[in-house]
Amino acid sequence: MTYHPRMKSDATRWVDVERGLVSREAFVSDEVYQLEIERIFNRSWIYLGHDTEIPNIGDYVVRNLGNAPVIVVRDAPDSTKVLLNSCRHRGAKLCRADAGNTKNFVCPFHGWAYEIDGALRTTGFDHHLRDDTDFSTMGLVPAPHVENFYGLIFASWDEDALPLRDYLGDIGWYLESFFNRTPGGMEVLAPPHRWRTKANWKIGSLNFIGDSQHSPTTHIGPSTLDAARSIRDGFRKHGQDSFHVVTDEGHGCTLTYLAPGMPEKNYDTHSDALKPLYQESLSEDQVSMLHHLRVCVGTVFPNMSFIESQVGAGEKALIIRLWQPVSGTEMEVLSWVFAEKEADQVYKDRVLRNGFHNFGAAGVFEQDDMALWESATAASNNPIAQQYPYSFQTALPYADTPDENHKWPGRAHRPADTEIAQFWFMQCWDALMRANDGKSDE
Amino acid sequence: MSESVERSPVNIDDYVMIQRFLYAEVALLDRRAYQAWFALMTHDIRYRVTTVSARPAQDKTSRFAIIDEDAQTLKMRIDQISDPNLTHAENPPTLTQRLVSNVEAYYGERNGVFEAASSILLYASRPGSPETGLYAGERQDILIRDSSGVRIAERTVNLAQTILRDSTLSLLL
Ligand code: FES
Ligand SMILES: [Fe+2]
Repeated sequence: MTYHPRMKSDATRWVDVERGLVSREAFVSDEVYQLEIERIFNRSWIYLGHDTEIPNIGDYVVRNLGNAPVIVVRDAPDSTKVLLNSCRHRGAKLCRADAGNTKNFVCPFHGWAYEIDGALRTTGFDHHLRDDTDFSTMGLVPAPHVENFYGLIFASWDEDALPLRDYLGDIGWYLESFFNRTPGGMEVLAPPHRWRTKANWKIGSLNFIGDSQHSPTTHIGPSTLDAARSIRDGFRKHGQDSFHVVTDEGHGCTLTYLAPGMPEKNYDTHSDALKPLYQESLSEDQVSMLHHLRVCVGTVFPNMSFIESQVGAGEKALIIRLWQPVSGTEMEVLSWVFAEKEADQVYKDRVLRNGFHNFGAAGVFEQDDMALWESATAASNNPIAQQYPYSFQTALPYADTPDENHKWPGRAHRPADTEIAQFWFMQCWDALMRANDGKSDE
Repeated sequence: MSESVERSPVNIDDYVMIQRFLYAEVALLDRRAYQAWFALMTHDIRYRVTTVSARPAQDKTSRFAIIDEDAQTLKMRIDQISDPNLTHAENPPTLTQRLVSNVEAYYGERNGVFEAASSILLYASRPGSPETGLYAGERQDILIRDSSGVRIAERTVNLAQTILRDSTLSLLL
C-alpha cells in the first residue's frame, strides 16, 4: 500500500514534545481520520468483543475492525473468526442484525452461501462457472490475525502484526488483574449500550488513559450529590499510592488509591465470596494492586478503554469501552459491564445497575462528559481555533522522572493527576501517523 | 404486565382520571419541575428505560435497560439535572416537548391499582444547536391511587432505538 500524504498537516508534527502541545487539527479533521484508519486502525490490534457474547457455535456479533464492518463468529468451540461482513459477489452484508446465531451465512442478495468459518460453499449458480473457478479464494475476507486475551477478543488487519501478547506488553499485567481474577473469568452482563457522540474518538481514549483533572469540574454533579462524599474526597485526595502508568505501544492506565483517613470500607466492595478466587488466579502483587484500589481507568491503544470504579454506595463495576471513530468529529461508543462468572446473580445485577447508572448511555457521569467533549470538538472545528494547539503542559515536568521504585510492570509516574499518560498516548499516535509506510516504493 | 392475564379496561371516569394524570405529569418534565415530578413517584418506585439490540426477526427480542433506578438513584439523577450548578448536560437546559398518546388503562390486581400503557415522543432541542433529538417509546406504568392522589409505582419506557443517535440521555420520559 502506498501512501501519498499531501495534507498540510503532514508538513509539521501534530505533537510538540518540547512544549507539551498538540494540534487541534488532530481532533477534528476528516483527513486525519482517513489517515488514522489506514495507519492506526488497519495496523493495530483492535478490541472487538468478549468470549461470553458468543458462547455457542454459530453465535456472532457484528462490529467494526477499523471502519470495515466485520462478523465476529464462534466457528468452533475454541475458535473465533473475524470476517468482513460483505459478500464476495457484490458486497451485500451477510448479517444485517447486531447479533444472532446461524449455521451458515447465506447472502440475501443472490444467494451465495458460506460456512461459518467463511469458506464459500456454493454460489447457487455454480453450473454457470468455468471449471477452473477456485472457490478457495472466494470465501469471506478473514482478518489475518484474531487472538484472545483472557476472554477479550482482538483482531488485526495487519499481516505483520506482532503477537497480541507482545502488542499488549506491560498493560497485559493490569488487564489480567481485572479480566482474569477468578478461574471462570469475567462475563458480559448485558448487550453493549451504544450511542453516537459528535466528538473526536481520541478524547475518549485520552479521558480513560488518565484525565484525572477533568473529574472535579466535569463531574461536580455526582461528586456533590454522593452522600458518602467519597467521590469528592477521592478526586481531591488521591492517596500517595496513586499513579499513572504508561507502556510501549501507547497503552496506559491510572490507578487511584485511598488517601489516608478515607473510609476504606466504602471502596472494598468486591464480594467476599470472590476474594479467595482472586488469590487463586492472580499473583500476590496483582492482588495487592487491586486491594483498596478506588478507581482504575485505562486505555489499550488505540480505542479500547476500561474502568473499574466505585462511586457512591454501590458495588464496583468493571466496564469496557470502545471509541469507534465515525469521522473526524463523531464517534460511536459501545459500553459493556462485566462481573465474575462465579458471582451470584444478585451481585451481578447490582454491578450492572450501578455500572450503567454512572457510566452508560444515560450515565450520570457520562452525560456531562459527552456534553463537554462535544463542545470541545465543535469549538475546535474552525481555522482560527486551529491556530492554537491543545495544552498538555502538565505532562512536561514529569516526563523525565518516572518512579524508579515502581515494582509492577510499565513506567509509573506520580502524582496521578498530571497529563503524562495522555501526552504519551498522543506521542505514540503521532509516531504511527508519521511513520513511513515501509512498504512504500514512492 | 403480562398479556396472558385477562385484564378489564377501566371505566370512562377512571380513564379520564389517568389521562389527566399522565398529561399533568409530563407537563412537569417539560417545565423542568423535576422535584415536583419526583413527588409523583412512590417510595418504592422502579423506573426503567430500555433499548434493544438488532436481532434477526425470527429471534425473540430481549430488551435491556439503559436506566434502571430505585427511589434513591432516581433522586440523585433528578437532583443533578435540576441544579444548574451540578449539571453540564442540562445547563443550558434542553428545550423539550413531550407528546403522550395511545393511552390504554386496566384495573390492576387490587383496588386502587391501575396498569396504564402509553406512547411517548420526546422532542429535544439542544440549546445553541440547530439539531434536534427524537426519542420515541412505549411506556408501561403501574399507578396507585390512594387518599393522597395518584402515584407512579413502576414505569418502564421501551425506546424504539438500538443506538442512541443524539449522544447520552440526560432527560426523563
Ligand atoms: S451480493 Fe451476495 S450473493 Fe450477490
Ligand atoms: Fe468523566
